Amino acid sequence: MRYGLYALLVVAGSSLFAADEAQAKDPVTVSSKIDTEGSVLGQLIIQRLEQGGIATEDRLQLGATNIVRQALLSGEIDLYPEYTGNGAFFFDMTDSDVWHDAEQAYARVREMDEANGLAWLTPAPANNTWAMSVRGDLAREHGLASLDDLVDYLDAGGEFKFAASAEFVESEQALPAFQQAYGFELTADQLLVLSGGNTAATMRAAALQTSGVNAAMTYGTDGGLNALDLVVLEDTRGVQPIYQPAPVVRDEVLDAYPEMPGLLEPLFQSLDLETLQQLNAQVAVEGRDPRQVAQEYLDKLQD
Amino acid sequence: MIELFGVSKHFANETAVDGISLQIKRGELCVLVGTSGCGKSTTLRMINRLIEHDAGEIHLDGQPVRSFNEVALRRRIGYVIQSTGLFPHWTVARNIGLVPRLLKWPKAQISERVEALMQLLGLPLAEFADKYPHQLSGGQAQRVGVARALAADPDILLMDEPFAALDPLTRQGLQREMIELHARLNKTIVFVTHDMDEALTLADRLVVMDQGRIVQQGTPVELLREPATPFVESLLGGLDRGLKEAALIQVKERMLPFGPRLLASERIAETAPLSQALSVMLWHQVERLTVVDAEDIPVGELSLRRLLGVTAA
Amino acid sequence: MVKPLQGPNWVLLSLILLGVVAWLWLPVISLAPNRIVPGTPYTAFAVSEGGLFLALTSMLTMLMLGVAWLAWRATRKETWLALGTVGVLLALLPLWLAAAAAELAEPDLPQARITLGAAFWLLWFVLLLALIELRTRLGLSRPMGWLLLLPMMACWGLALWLWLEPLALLREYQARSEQFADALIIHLALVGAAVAASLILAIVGVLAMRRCSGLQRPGFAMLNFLQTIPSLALFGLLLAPLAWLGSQVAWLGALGVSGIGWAPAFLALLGYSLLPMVRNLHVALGAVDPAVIEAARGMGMSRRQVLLQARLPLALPVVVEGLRITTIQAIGLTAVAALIGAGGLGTFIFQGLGQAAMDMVLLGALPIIVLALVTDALFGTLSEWLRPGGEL
Repeated sequence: MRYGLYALLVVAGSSLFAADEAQAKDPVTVSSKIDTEGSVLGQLIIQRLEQGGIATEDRLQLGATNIVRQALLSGEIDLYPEYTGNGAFFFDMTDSDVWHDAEQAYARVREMDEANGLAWLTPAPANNTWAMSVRGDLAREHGLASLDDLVDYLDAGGEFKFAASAEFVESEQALPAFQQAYGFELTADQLLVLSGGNTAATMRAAALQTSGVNAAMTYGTDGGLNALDLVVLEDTRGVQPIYQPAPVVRDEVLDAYPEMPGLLEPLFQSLDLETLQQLNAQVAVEGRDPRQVAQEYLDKLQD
Repeated sequence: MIELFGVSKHFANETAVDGISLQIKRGELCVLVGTSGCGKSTTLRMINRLIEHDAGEIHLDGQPVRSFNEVALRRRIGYVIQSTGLFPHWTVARNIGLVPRLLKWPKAQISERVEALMQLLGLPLAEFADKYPHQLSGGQAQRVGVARALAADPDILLMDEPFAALDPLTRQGLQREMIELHARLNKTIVFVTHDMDEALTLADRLVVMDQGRIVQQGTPVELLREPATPFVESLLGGLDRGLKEAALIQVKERMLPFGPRLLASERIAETAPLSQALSVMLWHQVERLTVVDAEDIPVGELSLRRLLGVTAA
Repeated sequence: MVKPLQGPNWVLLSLILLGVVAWLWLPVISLAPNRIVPGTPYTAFAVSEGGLFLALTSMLTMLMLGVAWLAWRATRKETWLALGTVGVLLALLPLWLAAAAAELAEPDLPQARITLGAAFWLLWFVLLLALIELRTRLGLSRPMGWLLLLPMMACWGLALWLWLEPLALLREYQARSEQFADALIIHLALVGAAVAASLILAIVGVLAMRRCSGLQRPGFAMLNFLQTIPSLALFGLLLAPLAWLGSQVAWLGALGVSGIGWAPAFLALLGYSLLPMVRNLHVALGAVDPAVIEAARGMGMSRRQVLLQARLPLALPVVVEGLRITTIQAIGLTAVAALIGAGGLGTFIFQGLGQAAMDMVLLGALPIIVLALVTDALFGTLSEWLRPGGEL
């Protein structure tokens, strides 16, 4: 029995050496969050890297933000797409104004994560931030295109019921920020608060007009917007922080594969709001395999 | 030869066995009898060290039991308990072969022995070998228990109220078989019971216990005729002792050859106990019985006076 | 176990009538234009006006009413007939579904999909219960009961392969079949490893407790306490220490031990499986007839021999029962492991919830239910067979 234990230790030790040696040849462990956009961005990254001759390991759809971030910090995964605006929470800077400007947000979060040994690569122009959307028929009937229009509509006594998560209603960066910036206040009757945070449920409520709901909390790039005929009200005053997706990678891996930024930059630069919405829609609404959706998009990009 | 010298056993706050001394000769069937809680079972279980005695010495053939390895000791002693304790997941044959397997006998020898024992105890091999304990009646199960105890051919057999859970008819049958077995195998048997009739039927030596002490020991007839204390007297039946003694004496010991008179119309077997003969006389309201042998051939005559033991003819 | 069969079989009657009511008045299927918009529901007869289809639907309805009539008359022959009819109904359901799918299909809406409605699930459930009821009544053995399910499974296989392409559940599966296979394997691996490890630890623990009875109270107290911690909280508690461990001890980290992933999931599952296993083993070893132990000791078996040849074999049926319960519990709990990145069938449940795609949730939940039922059946049969003098 003791010999067995020693043998095990020897094997473990030698595999450790082997691991060190093989460091440079390790495949890149790519991960993502558990939502639809995570599956799309993740697949795009994996296929792009493979095209560029970098071996990858698929650990997509790992979990919520904190899970994936933790995994990256502990080195269990090597790369995942994160949103620039989340820097406010990672570094406890929610009051700062820097998050309302795309370039400043990116520069700041990139700078601060250097201390963690993480590198932020080129972000996509799409802004996947919290938004208030209304039913398409309502928008067309009353000519609602931005939040200013909504305020006019509300002042004129229009019917309005808004489905949102508890977090959205209470968080200072969300509804209260909107209300303060645009000068309106929703009464309790005009709110339908759901406990979970996912926009799929709120969008569904607006589409079905459950309990008279005709507006919903959404994310900028939600795939279901078109299918459910919901219109995003433009945030003209820039209340919300900017959430641009960008690949975040560990320094060691970046050093091992210096060609990585070059591969991913054109890809991410091509992802504007409509494009990302469409890609998300193909997965969320049509139920297609994210792998195929990514492949088709990359093929189109080459052309 | 089992000897106990001043053996005692204490539990928590009571004394179960209080300094008893006993000598059981080789080949003797010794019955420990008494009311519940008198210490008879405890005494039994100290012999094979299921319970360790606190004081005194227990010797087997001159050697103290403590000098033996306790597991090896128990394999040399047969043990039968009231609820049989047969292994429910083993067949009858496997149950019986338990100790021989523990002693690592060769397989052929074990199956030979199992077969012999099953025959000895009236369990036909073909019918019973592959049955499971839950398919047996109470009597059959206890027979298997006895067979199991005898499997490794031990010199000593310890039996703790083995027939107490059986119906009276089965019990009597097994008691008779026990007597036959004892006569045949000549093993030393220590038998515990609270049933006085059973004790009187079986015992070579009868040991009456009360509150952890031996009150009296001797042959059944000795105890019947000369009880040492009123307790023993009442335990042995009090005024019923006449019948109990009669149950121990066979008709053929009191019968006489035929007289000049006609044969009596009612018959009694020569091996029947006197108490049965008395019962027959009472039933038919006669004073004479014809004694017959196993083939129902008249061999003698028994009169009421002879039965009563009055010496004048 | 053959009861005299007379008089109405109330159980069967009420079951089948419930099924008929559901069939006629509740929606059987719904057609949704895409994945996230809920569909329009249809009751059985409202699906289509086509003559052939109506005939098929009527035939099924007649068969159900037939079973009701047979349940009313309930003699031996009629019970056998009822069994056959229920089997036929179970086999016809997927075929009817295929026909309905064909009727509802619209060529200009390729994304349209069919979801199963309340009536369908209810009817299916009711028919399965009826099958069990009839099997018991007729005194058939368990494996015979499974045999009766074969035609149904064959028809489902056929329908899913050939005609049920628009079924939402199937679409979800096809969109991620590799992921599904991986998730299933991980799920089974987690359950298997956790239950096996808990069995070993339980054996060690119980043997220790029996030897040293002072350990019993604190042992059980700790296990009870563990059991009351909610699973998510336990994951949270394990996060920091495991992360630290994974980073400090290199070879553990290389194995994948960290705050998230399989390590906390395995440990949490192990913890939850320990209480039922320890309790069960403790009871099993103690519940052996004391007379058997007394006889065994008296015959000259050593402590070890008593344990191995008497206690353990006799405790085995009870232990198998304990394994059954623990495994089923673990199968369900492992669903939560998906939240910390451990994988398993729970990923589909949570992803589906996040995307408001109920059929994706079903893709995760249905296999879990099936796994639990299969485990229950297998272990149940094993336990019966192991009982002394056990017959199947």
